Amino acid sequence: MSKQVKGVISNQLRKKRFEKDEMTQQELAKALGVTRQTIAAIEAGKYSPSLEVAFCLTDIFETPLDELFQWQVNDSETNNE
Amino acid sequence: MIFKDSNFSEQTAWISVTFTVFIAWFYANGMKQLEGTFSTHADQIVGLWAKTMFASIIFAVIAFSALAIMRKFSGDDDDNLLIDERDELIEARATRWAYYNLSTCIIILFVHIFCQGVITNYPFFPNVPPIDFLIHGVMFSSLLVEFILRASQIYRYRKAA
Repeated sequence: MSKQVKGVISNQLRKKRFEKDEMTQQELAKALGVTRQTIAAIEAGKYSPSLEVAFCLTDIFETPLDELFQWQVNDSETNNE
Repeated sequence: MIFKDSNFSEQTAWISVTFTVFIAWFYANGMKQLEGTFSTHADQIVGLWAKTMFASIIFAVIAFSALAIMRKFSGDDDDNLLIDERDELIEARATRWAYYNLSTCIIILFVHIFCQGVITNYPFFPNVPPIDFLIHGVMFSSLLVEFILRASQIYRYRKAA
């Protein structure tokens, strides 16, 4: 019996950008090697980055991963056979 | 504006969607002017393919030149041709939809040809020989597959990744 846990990933990217000398999305995108639209999508919670990008973000902001991204489990957990 | 807040991959997807609609219209228009069938007037069909190919090249040159000029003026030229992991993920998901569509089209084409051969008074396209149906069917199926691929890419860029 496997349990599928559903949840959402939130992030503090926007806050961290502003704390880091008001870094722009374009500057962050350039540092990561992604497009500005991808940064915008991550900040809006529409896209979850890969682990590689997530760890690069922790390097750029010099902050632990769990301070950047948070996992919130939904109450409606589903059990699948 | 359509291109507002979009990256290079989404912009090329918009061009491809417009391209497929234009070529479908161009090819359908050319089909109306065909006389006879492939077995009697093969040269006309080959001529239509050549004209369609030529129109495709002209369209692509104009569209991509216009895109390059627009990007230059809007200052988006810095990240030109940059394709990141999100673009790849979106393209992979869109490709899955396109393959479902391609399989469906191929099945429909062959089912039609089979039915035309075995069912008397088969009602769909009774005057179109199987080879002609296959030729034009493959052309429109390819355009439909490309349209669905790019449209679903745009949908994902606009809604979510």
